[in-house]
Amino acid sequence: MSHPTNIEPRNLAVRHFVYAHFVQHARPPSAAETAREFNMSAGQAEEIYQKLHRGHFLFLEPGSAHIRMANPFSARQSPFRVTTGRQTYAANCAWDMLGIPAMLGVDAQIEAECADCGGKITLAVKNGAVRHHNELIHFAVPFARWYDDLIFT
Amino acid sequence: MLIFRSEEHLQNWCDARTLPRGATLTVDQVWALSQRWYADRLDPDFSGRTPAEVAQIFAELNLTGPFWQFETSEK
Repeated sequence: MSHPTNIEPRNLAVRHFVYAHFVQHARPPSAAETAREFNMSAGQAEEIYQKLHRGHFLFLEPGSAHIRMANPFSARQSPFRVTTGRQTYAANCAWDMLGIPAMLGVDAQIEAECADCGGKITLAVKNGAVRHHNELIHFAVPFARWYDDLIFT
Repeated sequence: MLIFRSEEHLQNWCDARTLPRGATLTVDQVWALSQRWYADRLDPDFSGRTPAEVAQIFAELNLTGPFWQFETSEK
């Protein structure tokens, strides 16, 4: 969770651009793409990415300026795939695979894998409800520790 | 957060890793949480939530107890 902060308007605009880019292209913008959008240098864009990372507005690959997560979106392929009328997106986890259609307000087909057996699980979001087969979603880490190791969480 | 076909599969997974159980939610519960949590994420002015706002969301969804408390670590 990101806390409300005195985030600079330009950084807020970059955050929104990252999400809009993810929605349209199913991937995050590179720092160079963000730099072009905002008429800034790639170094300035990377600096803003780092600030947004520190503020928990998005998450970078360790030691880089490449966006790995802008929850609920994942830049990496994952076992949680969400197909809408626009795109197929990768989600970070079983919560985020539901978060994508919830955020977009659209119907979706969801494909996931049972973490125990690897069996295929399909869900469908239609008209604001989820069709499922009584699967269970497990939150292993207490809320207060979610950001201690976000990838594990 | 991982998904399991059933309670049996979830327990198998925990046993195989000697991990304690965390919180187990139904798909409908997580869908309700998703709708509440992510509804404003595409808002250009979204700038995060206060701990009180997070607590309010969890309370509305009956996600209570120590597992859902904010405590001192930032999330």
